[in-house]
Amino acid sequence: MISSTRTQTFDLCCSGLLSVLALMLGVTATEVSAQTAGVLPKTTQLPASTRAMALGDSYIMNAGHADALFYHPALLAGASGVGFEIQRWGANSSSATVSAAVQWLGGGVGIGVRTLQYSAFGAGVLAAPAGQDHLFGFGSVPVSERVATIGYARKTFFDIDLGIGVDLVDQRVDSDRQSVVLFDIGVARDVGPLAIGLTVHDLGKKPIVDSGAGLAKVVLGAGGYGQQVGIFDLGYAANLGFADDEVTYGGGVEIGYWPVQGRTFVVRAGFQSVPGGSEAKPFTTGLAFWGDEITIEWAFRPFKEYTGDPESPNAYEGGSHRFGLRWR
Amino acid sequence: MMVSMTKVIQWSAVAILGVTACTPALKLTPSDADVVLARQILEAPDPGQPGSFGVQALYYGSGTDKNRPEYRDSVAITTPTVDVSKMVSLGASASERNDYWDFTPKEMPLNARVWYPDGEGPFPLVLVVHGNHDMRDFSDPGYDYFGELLASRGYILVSVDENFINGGIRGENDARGWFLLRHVQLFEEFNAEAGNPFEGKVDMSNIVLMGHSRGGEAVANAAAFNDLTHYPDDASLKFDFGYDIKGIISIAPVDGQYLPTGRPVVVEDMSYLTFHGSHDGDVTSFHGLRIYDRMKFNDPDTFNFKSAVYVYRANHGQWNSVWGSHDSGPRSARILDLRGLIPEEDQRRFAEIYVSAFLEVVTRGDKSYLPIFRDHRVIGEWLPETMYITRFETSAFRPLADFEEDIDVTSGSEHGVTIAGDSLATWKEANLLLRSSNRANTSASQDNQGVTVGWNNRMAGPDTTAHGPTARYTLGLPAGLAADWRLSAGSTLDFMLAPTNDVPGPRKAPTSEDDEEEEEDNEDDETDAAGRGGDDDEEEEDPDVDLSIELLDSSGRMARVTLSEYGAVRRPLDTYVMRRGDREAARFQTHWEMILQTYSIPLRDFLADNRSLDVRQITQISFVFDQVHAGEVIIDQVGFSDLDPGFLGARVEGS
Repeated sequence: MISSTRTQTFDLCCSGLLSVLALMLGVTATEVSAQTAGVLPKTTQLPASTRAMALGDSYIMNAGHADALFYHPALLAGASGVGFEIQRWGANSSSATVSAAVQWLGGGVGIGVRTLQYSAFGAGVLAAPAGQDHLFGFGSVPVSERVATIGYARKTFFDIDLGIGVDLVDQRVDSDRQSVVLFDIGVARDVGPLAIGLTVHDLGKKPIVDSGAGLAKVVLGAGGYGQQVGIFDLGYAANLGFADDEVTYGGGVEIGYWPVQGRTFVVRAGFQSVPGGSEAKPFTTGLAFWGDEITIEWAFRPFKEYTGDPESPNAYEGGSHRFGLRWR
Repeated sequence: MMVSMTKVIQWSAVAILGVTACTPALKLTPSDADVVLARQILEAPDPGQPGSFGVQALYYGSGTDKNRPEYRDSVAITTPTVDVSKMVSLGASASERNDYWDFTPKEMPLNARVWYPDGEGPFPLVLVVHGNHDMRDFSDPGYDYFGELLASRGYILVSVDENFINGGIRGENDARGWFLLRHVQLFEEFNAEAGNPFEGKVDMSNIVLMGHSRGGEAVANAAAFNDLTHYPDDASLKFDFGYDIKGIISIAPVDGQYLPTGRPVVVEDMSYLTFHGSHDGDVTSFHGLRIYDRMKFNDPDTFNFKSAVYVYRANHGQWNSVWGSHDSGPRSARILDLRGLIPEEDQRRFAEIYVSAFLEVVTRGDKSYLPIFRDHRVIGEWLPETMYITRFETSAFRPLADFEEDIDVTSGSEHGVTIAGDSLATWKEANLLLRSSNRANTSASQDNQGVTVGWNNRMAGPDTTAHGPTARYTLGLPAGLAADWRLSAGSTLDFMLAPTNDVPGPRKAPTSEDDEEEEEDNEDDETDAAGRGGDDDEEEEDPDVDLSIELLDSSGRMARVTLSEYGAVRRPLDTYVMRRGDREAARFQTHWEMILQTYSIPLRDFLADNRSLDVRQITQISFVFDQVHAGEVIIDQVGFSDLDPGFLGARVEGS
């Protein structure tokens, strides 16, 4: 029975990997247009994990999930499973994430796809302002991004995990389109009950409108799950990011309780930095249910109160919701 | 207000429904204790009651323990440290463990807490050792109930500290056994040392080792090491023990974690007691049965015996007062269904009775307690109300068929013994299985072959009263064997047997050639079945299994007894330990443990049935399936014993 379950899980992982690969092929097979005025890849700056989003966009470092690919690719060493997630900002903006990972080639291999669609109030810098506020609005310029990511990590000396991720980014702003390749590289290591990771994101030629080459973002993350506190299990995560002149931070805790083995209910709360001028609230929250093989998650980040005018660029609808479904 | 109350009621109903839906029904075999334990036949004093000695206690050890004041500040005797690095590898956790304990395997302490009688002695020496558990939740105090009881009854009870090899390490069970022998060695020194609290108080000719869980296997390792001169896995380590160990006791033991030279440990020529709870959430199968089966008695003239008891609804941890009901850690209640457990006081009461009785027999030769090992029904008033399956065998047992020797189902183990089946629906020999292997790298085999015999005396067809010849399974003895073995009225016919849950379907319609013969047999059946076989309306779908045992001598004289008079004959006991049914199904092959029970039938009882039977001329032993129309049983270890009369000192009437 156990082996059967493992086989099913493995099959699921394989089919997930194949699905994601097919999507990636779709991305890479697309004809690359001539270089146009680009926009900053938005997707790589948005939450890519429901669990992380609920914890102030801080990744639980020892989660062992495939979506580690997007945060700290070094954590792919030991990661497995398939996940599918969607996030919504308003009626016109949403993103989806698919990720899968298996242990292979002496380490962990992960692949994933992230997509984002929204409408901007103009091209150029208006297509991708800082923060997420503009995602709640209705603009006239359709923007979409697809990012296919593949990563590999393995354990090296001193129990340090070394990982690398490659992002194939495809962007469309109205009728303009471009494709670029970015790299993430990082290390991670268990230190007592914690796992700590340091990752440099978005290395490569990153087009930024009107401002030349963009800088990579360096993220230091720490976290862990499983510490028993009375009848509960405690998880915690924090991150500190450096990009351009901006320092970002976030953190959160989650409390799990399983009344019966294999039936875990989780409550999460977090905080994170707010970009200048943003109407985002600094708090995040979320809930989750973990079954034997499946996980259902929800995360929420509040923004400014709903204005009552859906056509208004400030129609925040209260905040952004993210849902995740994952198979171990 | 009324609306609010209505809502409260509605939500309460929903909540109750939800809780009820999430709480599956408790599945247990209905107890027959009110019948099986209805009598108290044995008249000896209750061995589970305190004796006449005052009880003293002390600690001995390194005197430097970092974590436990009793082994740092309160040791009455300071003992040396020992190097067990050849047997213990701490692996990746070495640094953390060494930091916690402040010593390494090269300098581990010999710590123990001792309960001993306030008297001159010498007193038998009994060592008990715990098994694996959280190393920070110290296990050695958990046998205080044995300490208080046994010391008051004139034993020195030593609870050995091996907490420092508990936790997440593997492959240390040889060390657990070796430690026990080193502690025995200490007592040899204490006994001879002037001014020592144990000077002259230790009866070194009467030693019993007792262990729980991994400690239950460790006592077998110790018993084996006791006879060796070198450590089997590294001969550079020499042994010099050779103590007079009279018996070992394994409480819910593991087995096969230590395999010297790749083979299981075999214990020889001492007595053995093992018991195990059906609802053990840690060691989930009765692995002590394997130690039991491997136990060898090389000299039939030296009295030794072995006994195994399966205790329904007992768990793993309640044998230790520290461990309690948490077989799967502090959160056991979320993993294991604990509702079925008997109270821990009851569980330990059983242990007190059987351990104390075993010690009385083994160290003091008090055979008045032997009957409880043959038939636990003789102490119905002493035993906690649950169900027990018992097996025993003595050094005087001589097997006719143990089903180990070959693949020929028609041959017995003793030369010349033949086996035949008549009208059987099932007849096969196979290795018996436990319900779980407990660990991925250990076996689920009982390492024991048995024969499965099934029958259905009914004929297929619309006439449900039509029966064929009564099924039987017969062992044929060669001429002269019974005389050579000097069988007498005092001998016993012994075998192990347990019904399965299978019930074969009715037999196919007979051919016309057989009709006449079968009709005659049907008439016989109605007589033989004592009124049970012929009335379908009174029979349940799966009737309780019972059968007759028949002896035939060379002159054709026959005598017969009914099995159920010699012990309860039960189908396997329902055992569900997990809270979630799907996890239970994934982890266990069956929801029962197939435990065969020993039935020991005095030949005198056959003579009571037929005085003319000549037991020196017995030529056939038959299992006659005449009591219920259908069923299936597993049989093993069929043979005769020149049983010590003490075993029959108390008998349930008819047994």
